[in-house]
Amino acid sequence: MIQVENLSFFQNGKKILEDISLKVEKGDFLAIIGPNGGGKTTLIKCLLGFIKPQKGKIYLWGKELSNFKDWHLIGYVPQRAGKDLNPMFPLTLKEFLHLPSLLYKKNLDENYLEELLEIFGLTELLERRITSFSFGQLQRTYIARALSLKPEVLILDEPSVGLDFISQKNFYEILSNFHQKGLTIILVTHETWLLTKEVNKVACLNQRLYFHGAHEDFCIFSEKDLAGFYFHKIEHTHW
Amino acid sequence: MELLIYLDLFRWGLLAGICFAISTALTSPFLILQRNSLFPHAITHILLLPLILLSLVKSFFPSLLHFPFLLITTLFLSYLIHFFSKFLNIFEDTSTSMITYLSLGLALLLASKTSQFDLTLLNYLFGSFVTIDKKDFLESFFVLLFSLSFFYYFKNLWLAKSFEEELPGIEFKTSQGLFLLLITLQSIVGVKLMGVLLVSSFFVFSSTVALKLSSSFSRVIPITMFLNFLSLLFGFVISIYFDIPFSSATVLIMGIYIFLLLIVRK
Repeated sequence: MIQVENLSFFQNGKKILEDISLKVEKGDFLAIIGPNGGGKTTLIKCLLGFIKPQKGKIYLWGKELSNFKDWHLIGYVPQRAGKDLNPMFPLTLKEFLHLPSLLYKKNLDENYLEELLEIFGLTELLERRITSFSFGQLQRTYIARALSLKPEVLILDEPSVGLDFISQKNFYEILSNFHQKGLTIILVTHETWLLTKEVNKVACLNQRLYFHGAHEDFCIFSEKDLAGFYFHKIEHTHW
Repeated sequence: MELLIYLDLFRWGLLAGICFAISTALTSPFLILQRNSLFPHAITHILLLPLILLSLVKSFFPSLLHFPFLLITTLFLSYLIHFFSKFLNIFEDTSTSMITYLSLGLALLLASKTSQFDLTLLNYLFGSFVTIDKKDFLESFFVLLFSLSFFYYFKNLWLAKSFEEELPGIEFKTSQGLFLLLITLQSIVGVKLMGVLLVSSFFVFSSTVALKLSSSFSRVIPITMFLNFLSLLFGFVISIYFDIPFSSATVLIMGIYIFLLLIVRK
């Protein structure tokens, strides 16, 4: 589905990503982990075509990124989603959720949307302004929007930052359910202790790709090994 | 009866005003949401220099070319903002201030040295209903047509850009470029009516009130349109009855909206 070949990215002469190669296959739940500033968000931005790498190639569904047109197949939840919303914005949840179908010119399945609202506990909020939402509600709103066009891949960039422990647990349970239904998920996080058991692949990134493989193989690494990737001590726990 | 005589006398001004009020209602809410409400203010201040330049050279051009001359010169000066920002490595608001002050300084210099420090300059600064003719109305009408078609094609992109920096596969560059071009066009046609100093008020007051009062975004544009139209109408009537400039009467009406909004919010 997604293939990255020898990708390198530099900014103002500074190396951000170096010679990254990885593959995401249908049904994968890939966690891209690494320290802050390790290049995780930059890699996602390259994958989504927001920035152009100086070296390397990206293939989406077998097509080179510049020729790829079916962007509705990818749902994306950015880092700090909704945090910079203008408080004056009178956009209702309904309007917000309908926007992708207008932008990508794809029909929205209203029954599926109702289902999504139910899953994310947003049904009662449909006519409310999204600027009145709590952070947790906003987070769920952005994920529901990313899923509204039934994408094949969902990319989430640090989605659980700012959520309390219970909300994080619920959030990962919902993600696991979608994964079990066949959704391919790419999750970017710097918190390795948040990895759900549902994750089947891990990519450990800190400018270079230190590890890319099965979750079980990643679990074999000792805390000392992980500290080597991260350049500081980290813990190894899972839900 | 007296009002009817005035209506006939100022019909082109009123028609041009209606076109301008509708045009700005189609863009101003997006401008506010994108936190760029000072953009028309900067454009209109830059515009004084092209206006003074035009008054010096207009006898050499057919009148059909006056509007393109204003547009191209204003766009060139606006481009200098990006140029300064990029090559001096300074924030865009800083370079906007620099270009604005330079344009104003040059415009005043030219006005004083070419004996335009009189009614012409006052007309540019405060606007005038009286001087608006059929040609001005047609320009406003064409800008309205542009505004309607751009709005139809790009409204969803403008809306998305109001809260999203990036979306996969969505290219904002063209729609944003055309959006800023449209604001420039609207500012140019509004200057004769409202003057350089107050034309940008049409981009701020009504849309702010509409954004604050609407329960959904779909209502924002019609409410802005209605409030703009109301300001134009009452501004016209008040300016005639009290013999005050139309632009200041209109802004005072808009000020009342904000006052009422404060009361409602309380």
